[in-house]
Amino acid sequence: MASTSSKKAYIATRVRNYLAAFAAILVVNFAIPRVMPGDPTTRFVGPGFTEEARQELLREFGLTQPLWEQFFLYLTNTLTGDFGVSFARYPTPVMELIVQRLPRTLYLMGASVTISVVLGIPLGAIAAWKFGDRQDLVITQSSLLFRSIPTFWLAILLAFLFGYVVPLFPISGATSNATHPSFISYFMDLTYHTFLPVVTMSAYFLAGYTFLMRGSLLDILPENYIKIAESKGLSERQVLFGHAVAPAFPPVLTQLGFQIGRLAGGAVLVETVFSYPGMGQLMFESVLARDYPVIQATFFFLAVMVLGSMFLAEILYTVIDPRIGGSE
Amino acid sequence: MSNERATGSEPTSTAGDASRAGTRRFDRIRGFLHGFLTNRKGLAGTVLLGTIVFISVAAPLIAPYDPEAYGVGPALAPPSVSHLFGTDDLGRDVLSRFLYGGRISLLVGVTSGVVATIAATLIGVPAGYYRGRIGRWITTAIDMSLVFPPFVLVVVFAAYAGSSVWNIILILSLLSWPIPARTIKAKTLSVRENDFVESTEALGASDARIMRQEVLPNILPVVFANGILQMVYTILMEAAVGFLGLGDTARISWGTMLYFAQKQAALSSGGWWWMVLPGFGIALAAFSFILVGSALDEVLNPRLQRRTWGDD
Amino acid sequence: MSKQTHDRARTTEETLLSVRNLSTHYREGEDDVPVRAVDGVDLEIARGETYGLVGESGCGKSTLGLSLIRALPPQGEIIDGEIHLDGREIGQPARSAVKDVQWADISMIYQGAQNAFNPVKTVGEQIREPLRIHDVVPEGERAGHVEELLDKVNLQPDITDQYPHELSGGMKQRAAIAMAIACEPELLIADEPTTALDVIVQAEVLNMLQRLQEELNFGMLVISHNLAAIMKLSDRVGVMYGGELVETAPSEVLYDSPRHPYTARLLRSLIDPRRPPEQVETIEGTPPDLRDPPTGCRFADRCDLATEQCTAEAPSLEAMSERHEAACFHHDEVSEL
Repeated sequence: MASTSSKKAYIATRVRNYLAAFAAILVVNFAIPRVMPGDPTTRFVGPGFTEEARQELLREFGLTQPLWEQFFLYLTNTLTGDFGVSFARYPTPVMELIVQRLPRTLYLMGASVTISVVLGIPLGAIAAWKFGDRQDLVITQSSLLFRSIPTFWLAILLAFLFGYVVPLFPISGATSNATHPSFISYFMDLTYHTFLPVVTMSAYFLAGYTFLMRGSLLDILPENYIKIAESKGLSERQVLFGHAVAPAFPPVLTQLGFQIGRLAGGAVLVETVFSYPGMGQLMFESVLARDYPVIQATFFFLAVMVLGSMFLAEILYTVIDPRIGGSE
Repeated sequence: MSNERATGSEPTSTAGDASRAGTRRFDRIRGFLHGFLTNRKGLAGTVLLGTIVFISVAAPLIAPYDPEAYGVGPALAPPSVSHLFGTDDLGRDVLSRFLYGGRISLLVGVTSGVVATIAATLIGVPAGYYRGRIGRWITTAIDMSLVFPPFVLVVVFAAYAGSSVWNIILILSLLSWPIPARTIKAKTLSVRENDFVESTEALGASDARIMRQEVLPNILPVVFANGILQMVYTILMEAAVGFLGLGDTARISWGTMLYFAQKQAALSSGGWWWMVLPGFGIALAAFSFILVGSALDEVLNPRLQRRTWGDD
Repeated sequence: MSKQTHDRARTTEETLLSVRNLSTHYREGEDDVPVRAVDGVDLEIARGETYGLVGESGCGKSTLGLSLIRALPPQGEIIDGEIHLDGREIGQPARSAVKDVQWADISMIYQGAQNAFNPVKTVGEQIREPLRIHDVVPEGERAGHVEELLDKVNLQPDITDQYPHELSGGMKQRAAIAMAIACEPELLIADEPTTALDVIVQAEVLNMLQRLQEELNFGMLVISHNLAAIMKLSDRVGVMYGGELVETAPSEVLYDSPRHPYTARLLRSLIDPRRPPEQVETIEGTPPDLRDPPTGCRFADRCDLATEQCTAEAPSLEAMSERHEAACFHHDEVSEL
């Protein structure tokens, strides 16, 4: 089939772009500690060493070598998962911290995106369908409002209300018990702890997707195929969810991909407020402690997470929209 | 600029065109102002924003106390007649600090919003204008920039470079352009398809000239609405940087007020008044920008009815 | 103008559609002044007959079509009047109560076939859909039925698996026709069926509609601003102005002796060599404001024959001859225009 092969070609181009973006992340991550003002060597060797030991370590890290050799070393280390040793938690390898925390943040972000999309699509659809009516007004205005409330402030309020005044939910940690008899019990414990963080993050993004979906549907609803669907004898709900939502979704998905970067930023704030031991909190702690190896690694992984999510969103887009890679 | 499609081959009188274009532009501005101010969101947003700007500018005149002065009241005093919104842990008047605190939010939010929007326009327009390789390259560059999570980068930069107000503005400007650049590129693409752009092109105008004179005026509404909405994000980011204590803690801003409040566990130690007002200020500022931005969007890119009337 | 359709074999006097005093209004908000898009229209279409509805933009002709198939946008509402299809009242009941009529008995080809199909669903899926909704063809035979339909409009069966963007404009228009006749409706409404198509495709589509009508014997309501196309295709023509039907007659009668000045103007613009042949919208003056229509004749302020009587009272449709009605106090003077 011609369209399948052009779709493949399209995906191939996109994959190439994502590989390029991955390379860009590698380069930027290498450059940040080296182009920033101040003595770069302090960023690779922790405090509390004698000058001699420091020079020794610098040599060991290859920091006395020419830049291109440093880059080559950095590449090898990064790609083999060697991010050095944490200054603040000396001598824990950075990778160990990351492995512990990455899944937690993935879960937090994944749950928030899922909730935002699952609720945002129907809410936006209803708002568009009832354009100008009271339902639309309520949905639209409250999305605008939730889009304006600072995430961290909402986090503080929710933590205070549901963790302190009415202590329904835990407001720190990722789990209550260190060990769990089964994955299910671990999962339940984790979900319980992430409840408030997920609600906080979802509020902002839910508002965004509701608004995006509404806008996208408003572009679709005047189309003839919607009028035809109505004329065919379908109920309003069948027209809306069976005919209008699917073609309105791809543009929303595109925006979703763009905004995943903001989601990572939200994770830093929300994890910090809820003392949720994920990547965001790790990054913030290491920023305060000037734990440069950890900063570098968390940045790298957060960027790669964003990249991966954008890629997933794009693959999904390609799958659900037959126009992509079409005959044009 | 509403360029009609050239129907004849002979050049039309430029002077006449210019004056007609002038009247048309004037009519359009009047129509726009009317539409914007009769739009409920636009009006509410303008009033709200006006109020915030007013209190920030007039803070020295209306603040009851010196915002920096310690012990103008007892520490952590609840709201009272003398301290309408109570005091913080050092006995400073919360209301006075709140009134001053909006200055940084507005300065950082607006400045970096403007810079980012200009950058987004400079990058987005050529990305949509040039077909072929150049356009593809710029688009790829924009897409790549989207990969870097802006707030995360802000935090990283703050760790390395310190956090003066100008640093924050610089960083926020550098990081917030990619999403609006995408939107502007898409709009440029659609304007580019118009006949008048093609006909100007056929007349041999240079690319830069076409972009400036034909494309830019047509995408300006989008740029404008986008810029305002961008400020919502930069205001929220500035507040978040302050809240994490990575901002300039020597200056009063709503974000840093919340940082100190949170540090002293204001809520659980019963000092809710210290926490509520600054958060409210940030939300209100962001909300007023969102209202103005979406009203602009509605007026400048009318979608009118959700479904057009059946007729013709 | 040569006509070959008015004596088409199966055109009978049996009434298929009967519209009485139909009024459809649009209203933006609760306290908004309604737009009287259709205001007291009477209309009859016989089985197998083609009725052409013509008028300039905003005269309410499309709204009339949408009222018949009950697909008005939410701002629109049938305020008054009756619509009988095959003796069944379908105008007053709630839309949900007449869903079984939609597409099964009345279907519609909408203006602009380019987006008649949902871009994320295959063409076949969308043609098949009404068969499923109304269960007119057993499930196992639907695919075969769709192929037959496509064959009727000269399309290859393999397009069923294709997406709309893979079809050319002319193919989409034909597929839209196939979709419209899927349930073998009694009445087919065609709103500007040829607008935005090139001349060759236009002729092809019109011929196809005539051929299908002969085969399936449906009544057809063709809505257009293109008077030339309408007269060629229709047995009878109705002229709408400002939400009202101002004249109706068999097409050759209308062509030879219009009795309403607006019709006369339309015809004149049709043969005026200085105008593009298909435009009728270029008549001087503006149509009436349908939020607040004049009390007298709505055409009065654009009319050369208007007198005081015309602005004071509204003329109603009167019989001119057999099957010819016009709403004008000065219908006798129209021929002298």
